[in-house]
Amino acid sequence: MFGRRNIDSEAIAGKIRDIAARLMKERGLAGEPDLNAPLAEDGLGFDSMSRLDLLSAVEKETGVSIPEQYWGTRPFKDLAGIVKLVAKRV
Amino acid sequence: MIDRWRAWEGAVDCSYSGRLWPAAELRDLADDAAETFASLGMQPGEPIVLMLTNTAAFPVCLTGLLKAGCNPFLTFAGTPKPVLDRLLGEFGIRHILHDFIPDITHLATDAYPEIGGLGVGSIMVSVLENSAATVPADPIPGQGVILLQTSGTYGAPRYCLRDQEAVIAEGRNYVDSIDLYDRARVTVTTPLTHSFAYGSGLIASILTHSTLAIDTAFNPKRVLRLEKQTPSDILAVVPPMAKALLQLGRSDPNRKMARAVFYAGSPIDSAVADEFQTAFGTPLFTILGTTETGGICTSYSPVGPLNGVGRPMRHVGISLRNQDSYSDLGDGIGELHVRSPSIMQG
Repeated sequence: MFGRRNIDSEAIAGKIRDIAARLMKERGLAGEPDLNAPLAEDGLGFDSMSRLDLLSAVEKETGVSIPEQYWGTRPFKDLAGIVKLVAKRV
Repeated sequence: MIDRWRAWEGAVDCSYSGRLWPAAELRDLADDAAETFASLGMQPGEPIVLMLTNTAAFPVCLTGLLKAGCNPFLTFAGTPKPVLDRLLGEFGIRHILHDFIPDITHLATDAYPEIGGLGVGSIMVSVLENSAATVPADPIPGQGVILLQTSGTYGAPRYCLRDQEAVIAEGRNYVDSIDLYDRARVTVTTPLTHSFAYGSGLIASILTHSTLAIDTAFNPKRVLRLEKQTPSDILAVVPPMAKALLQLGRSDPNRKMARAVFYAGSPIDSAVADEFQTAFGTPLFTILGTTETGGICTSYSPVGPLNGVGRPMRHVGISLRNQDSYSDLGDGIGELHVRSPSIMQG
């Protein structure tokens, strides 16, 4: 979990990538969690239900609250978008 | 189903992002939709892809198609184009109904030419044409048949067909299983194209004159906020939503939740279900989804291969029995007996 201190975006990106890699493995999704690949079925393969798990895990494991408007069906196109938001709110 | 639809005194509440639609208003729109669909060349018995998000347009188009004698094929609004192409080819589908909601739907109009449209309030539904369609080898039997895709929780994703009697029987099964009383408020967070959401949400609401609350977004924070404002009697979710509601809601001292929450799909650990009840004071019940219990048809061809209906499920058993002795027959001719805590007769 990130505290209220200076966290570089590399560390945040690493954390988000680790979370995504774990969830992809659990779901049998192939490939590496490229930050700029599309999050959806045509990229990393996160469907609407697994995106919910992804955001829940990000909020739980980074301690950063993701505002309501960023939840929902397709608010983030890629992992880089999540990294950017977490970096802004940490 | 049309008779039930005509008698329905409930509503569809899109107050998450829009407004409340009384059943009478939806009925008028569905009548207009049926005429529009027929004028655009949709034929009775023709399978039509219903690729819509959770808005008032969904029940309007579903019943509009049934009234026109077409066979609606419920398809997730965010279905990738290659998957849709495969579906269209397999069933020889000529027409697609699609709404364009930012950040959710992504089927570009230039992928299939738009031949018409339907306005439902501020929602625009496009009628798209697949000009490459050819007549399928095995036409779908009957008119007004609903086609569903299973989630694949208990096996590979497959298709199943529901005639309107089966739809009503399954709806009744849901009403009994979730103990839904008349004029209740039912909130469904899953896309209505999902058979569990359409069965436990739309059909069960129609049968009980209930109000169905829906949202275009699959958003747990919004559900928590809206449950605080207007708690539901029944909330139907899938496991990731139940877990997200628990994680995001339990720290809120002012949290509120529906009278009962039901989920279908992959199992939730009993410890999580206990935590949910402790956090919200609301029981989290599991229920078998429509496609897991109700007369699954995996092949509509009378001469095609027989397919399995998925892996064995706990508490569900099937046997072939002699009518007199009620002994298991194994191979042979007899009555098919199905045992399940959540299955309708028939």
